[in-house]
Amino acid sequence: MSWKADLRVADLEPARAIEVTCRRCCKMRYERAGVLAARTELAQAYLDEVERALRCHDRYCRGPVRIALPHQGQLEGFVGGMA
Amino acid sequence: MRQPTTVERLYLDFDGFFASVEQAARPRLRGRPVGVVPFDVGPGAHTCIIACSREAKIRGVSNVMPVAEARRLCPGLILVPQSPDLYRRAHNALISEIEAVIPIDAVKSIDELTCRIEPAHRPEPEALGRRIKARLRDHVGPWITCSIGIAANRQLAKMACKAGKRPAPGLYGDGLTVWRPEDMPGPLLPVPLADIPGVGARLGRRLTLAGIYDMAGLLATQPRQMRALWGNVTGERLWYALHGYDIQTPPSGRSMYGHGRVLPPGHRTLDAAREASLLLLVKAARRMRRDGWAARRLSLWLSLQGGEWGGDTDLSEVGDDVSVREGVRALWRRAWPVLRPAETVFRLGVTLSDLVPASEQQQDLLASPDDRRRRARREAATAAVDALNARYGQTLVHFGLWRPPPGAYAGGKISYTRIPSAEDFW
Repeated sequence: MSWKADLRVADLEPARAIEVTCRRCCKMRYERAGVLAARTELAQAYLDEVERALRCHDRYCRGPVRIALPHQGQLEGFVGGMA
Repeated sequence: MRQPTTVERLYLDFDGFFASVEQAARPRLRGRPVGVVPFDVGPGAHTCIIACSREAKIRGVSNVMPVAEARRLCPGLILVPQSPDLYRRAHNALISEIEAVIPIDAVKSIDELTCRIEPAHRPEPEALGRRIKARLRDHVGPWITCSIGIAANRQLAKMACKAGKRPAPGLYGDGLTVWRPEDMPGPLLPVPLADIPGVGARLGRRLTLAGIYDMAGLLATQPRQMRALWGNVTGERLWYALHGYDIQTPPSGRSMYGHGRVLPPGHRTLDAAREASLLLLVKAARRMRRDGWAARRLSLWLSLQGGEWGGDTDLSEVGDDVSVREGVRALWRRAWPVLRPAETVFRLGVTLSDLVPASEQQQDLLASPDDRRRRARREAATAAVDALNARYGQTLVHFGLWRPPPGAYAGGKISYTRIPSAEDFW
């Protein structure tokens, strides 16, 4: 069980971006947590269930995807070496 | 200012992050000394190790060490070219796992983060550290380890983390060190001054000239003395941090967006450098637009065989690709007459600075209606390009030539101040 099994899409802020990458062709897109949570079948889903439900957007691929939560917005650098 | 009486902060630093991620991804590297290099190198290459595995560190190899020296210390060292996108994805996955145990207060870099410890966990913080390590070991694997420091404030927790990385000769990493306020300054005293974050060679010399040779001497100074030695308020903040006060620097704001690149051999002509600068500038402009900024200044610098060249130009609070490309082409027109035609460019950098929030961009009051229409068209065209590229997850549409220099990862460099996003690799 990974972190995806601990978190529901509805637990995320609606504007939170979720990185969706095709495992077959590696095409990447972003989905918004609020948009996914608005789908009836995903309203109560955990992120691992969301991952299984989503498919690559390429009509000729439609492969399984891997999801990730980017955390770049939390970066807070060092100032003068101070943590 | 508050001086905590219990441990309140946790600092986590992954051990040999780039190299351990390579080991996790490539089974043939596990358990072997690995050195990550910036690009694929031949046997006689002159470059540096940018990260190494614990197996290499035990043998004396360290980060930012020339390859030749590293190979002398560790003849069996396996060199692996860096994979920034892999490290980025590993970072996101590891952060997500850690957040399942404890909320993260701040991500300090691609392999360091800090958390606040809730009162319920303060009596036994070691258990919290072990839970984090167990979570990573069970859900990610045993090849990416971390060292954890726990103390009254962030700075001491960071120093405890570093102190715990080498618990004994022949061992490296997977540390868990707790510095309780009631035990201080005991654990801090053996720490060399050079191990204090921010103390480099120059500051070390200044401390020596001031008669401060060790941690005991530094702790005996006064805040104003440290401010004078450091030359700024950081010295005073550090004094309070070393004495266990709850102090940290305020987060710094964004002041520029830029990219620098060492050009690979065979691509160091002026034409190749110009092309690379246009590409890097567009990548910087994309990041700037994503974060909601526009720029009023554009700078270009070139590191040449015979010296350096640098120039900057004003921009009219723009962020679109057409305008910034126009700006850097103007800089190149300025540079061309003073450079030799056969000049060799080793490194170059482009920077967009003097930022203004995109929502507060102001039109030039003296601009003609034609200029305003042109600006609006450029912004609309750039927005359309951004939308298409975002939809298909690659640079599908672009202005001008798009030929990344060999070595890939142009615009995706990982630094202390930046963790690239997926778009930076398009």
